[in-house]
Amino acid sequence: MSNIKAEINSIMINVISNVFEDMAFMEAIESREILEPQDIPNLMWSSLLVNDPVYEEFKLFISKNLVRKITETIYGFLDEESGDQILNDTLTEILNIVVGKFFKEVLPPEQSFSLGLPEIGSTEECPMKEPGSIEWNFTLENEQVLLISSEKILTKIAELNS
Amino acid sequence: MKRIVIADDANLARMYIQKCLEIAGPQDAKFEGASNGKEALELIKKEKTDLLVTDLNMPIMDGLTLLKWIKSNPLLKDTPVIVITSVSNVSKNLELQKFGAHKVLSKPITPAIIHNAIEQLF
Repeated sequence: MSNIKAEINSIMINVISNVFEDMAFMEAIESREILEPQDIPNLMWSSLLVNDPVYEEFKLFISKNLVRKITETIYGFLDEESGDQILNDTLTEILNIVVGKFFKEVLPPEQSFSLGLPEIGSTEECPMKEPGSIEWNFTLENEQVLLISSEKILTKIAELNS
Repeated sequence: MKRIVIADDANLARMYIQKCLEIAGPQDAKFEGASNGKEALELIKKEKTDLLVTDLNMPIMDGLTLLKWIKSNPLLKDTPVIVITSVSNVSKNLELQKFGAHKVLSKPITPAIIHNAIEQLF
């Protein structure tokens, strides 16, 4: 199981790197720092439910400042009056693309998968890490980003590839 | 003037796709956006559309349902549909093409990718 975990971890890090590089021209560097979501300043977060072939959730935690930088890169310009909706769109779209690309990489080609609609999380109710979760920590532009899901995904992916 | 409808529930994604099409698509294109399949269908019924670019996961009406609606409508069935999605793989791509999608592309796209997808259309 530890081999599978290492392989899946590596795939996710590659996916995250490619997505941020392609979309925002930013380098995502894997971080070994132990991080809680609440450690990220000016936090924004989004969750995305995977419906099939496994029923689990991904959560992406990131600073608003970094989301703004990414949005500015994509839009070209963001004025001070631009509302949170545009930042929410950026965050949910990033999570959507990362999770989609991840499953495309780890599942057999003939295995379809289904994602829910990403949702913006409330900063007043920031979730804690749960037992049995897996996480990917990385830094972009000197800011921390944290992606969390459940270890059950590893088991399911291993089953589907066996 | 070519009319292109872009359907995606994320404003950012619509903007991004439009930018790619402005770079790599027809020079005289007019763009209209929809945040779900139902809105996109209304736009396409209202006026002749030269291209529909749609996401799959959208509220109210998803991209697959939109595609099926269009391809089963005698007046709309010749509208080219490109699906740009985060949930594409071999299996999903085949399903979408079976229902009439011209191309299925994985997010995030680039101007080069969209150019290759539409070059036969314009």
